[in-house]
Amino acid sequence: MKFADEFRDADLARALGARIAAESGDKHWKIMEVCGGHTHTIFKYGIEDLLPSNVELVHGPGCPVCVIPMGRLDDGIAVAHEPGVIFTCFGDLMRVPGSTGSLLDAKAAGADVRMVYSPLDALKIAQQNPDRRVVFYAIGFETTAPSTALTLMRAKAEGIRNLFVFCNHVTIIPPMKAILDSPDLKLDGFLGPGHVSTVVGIRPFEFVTNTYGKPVVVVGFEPLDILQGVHMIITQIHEGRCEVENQYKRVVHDDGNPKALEVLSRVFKLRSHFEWRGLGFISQSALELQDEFADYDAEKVFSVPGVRVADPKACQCGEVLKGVLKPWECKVFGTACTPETPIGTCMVSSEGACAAYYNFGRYSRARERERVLASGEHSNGNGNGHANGAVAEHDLQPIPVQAR
Amino acid sequence: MSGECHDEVCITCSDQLLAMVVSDVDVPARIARGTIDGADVEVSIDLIDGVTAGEVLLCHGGVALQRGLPLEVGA
Repeated sequence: MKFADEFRDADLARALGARIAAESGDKHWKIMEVCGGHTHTIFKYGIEDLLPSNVELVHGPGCPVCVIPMGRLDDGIAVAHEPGVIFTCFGDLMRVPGSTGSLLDAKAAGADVRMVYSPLDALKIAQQNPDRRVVFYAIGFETTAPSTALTLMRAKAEGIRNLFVFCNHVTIIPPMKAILDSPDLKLDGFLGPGHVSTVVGIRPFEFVTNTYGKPVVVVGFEPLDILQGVHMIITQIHEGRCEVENQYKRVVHDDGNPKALEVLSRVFKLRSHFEWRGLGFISQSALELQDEFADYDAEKVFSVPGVRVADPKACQCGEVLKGVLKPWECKVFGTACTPETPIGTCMVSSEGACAAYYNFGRYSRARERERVLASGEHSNGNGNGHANGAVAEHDLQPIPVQAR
Repeated sequence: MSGECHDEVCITCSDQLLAMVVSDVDVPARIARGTIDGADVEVSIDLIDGVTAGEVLLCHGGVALQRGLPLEVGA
């Protein structure tokens, strides 16, 4: 939270970093922060520079903007161009590149695209424009889905019939399972998503400890929260424990918010499968509207192309989202792909690992590059241990794959 | 909820909870009014029971999701 200075004390942070260094021994630790908000904090406050080199933070798929596949964005842009539509979405989404442009480009081309802070704002727009069809492009994890659910419940209760939701809400547990099942990555533990846990509680993460034997610590978003979470994971493993712990007790209740969960189950049901950028199709990993709300479902009311579009060849967001590549190891990081001209979604949102590295992580990147060059290893896609290799123009273009 | 994105962050995309000090509650409308970072805001309180003026709510996307501590707004 802003102004929570008690959790930003630099002396305490250095002391905690030193304690982690003393207790981490010689083992190389890989700890994934699931939430994009954590990624942002890690780079904004230079957390990695307080950790010893054997404690590696791996950036997971918890940025809702970053995991939206290009085809879903194309579907939204197609709806935005429908006559009479007012298309609403959150701010970061407007800059995400689709296969032929972004929502900002659509707006420039004449579509009525408006940024909102809440789906309730979209409801107000619908009330103020009864002769227009207002579409809200819903994205986000369990933190954001309740506001969409409440909006739809209000629309239904008030008889508003010109509001539609294009639902892209996703859930956090299935991608964590997909990552744990991936042979690419061996993790020692997870920093659990603090604000998602405000809604779902900490119990849904017990499968990570019970099935996979990896500790989870749900942490807050201040620098000391994250450092304490890292220390708690290391302590668990040293003590032979494997539990879901709650470092963020000042906000997260073990049972989450039962009323929010009730609202979610009334409005949404799980999709049979959903495509995640970089992770592919994951079963029961996203939400769609219950039949009771079918009249508000933009996917049922509007004609959407439904074309799957693969990322440009040069874009390695998928590997970044799985934590297999560091952002700076991507071929186009910082050259063809920047926050001003993003090719991949990870460079769009401030919570995206690439944008976080670009904006805050140059020192860490330099340190990592030195380490990689010194060890002779390489893991980047261009195979030479250096970032930013030359890329052909055609590798920057998206690739239509097939109808969904 | 009105409000500004800050720190180059989209507050809704980034799953942030923002702390709001409640100034008044409209029970029939199920909304609470208050300030976030000095800006006047209005949030739904459908998901929190018994909200009263003076307490801190943690909000996302125009909805209060949890009660907060005074610490969360630097009080």
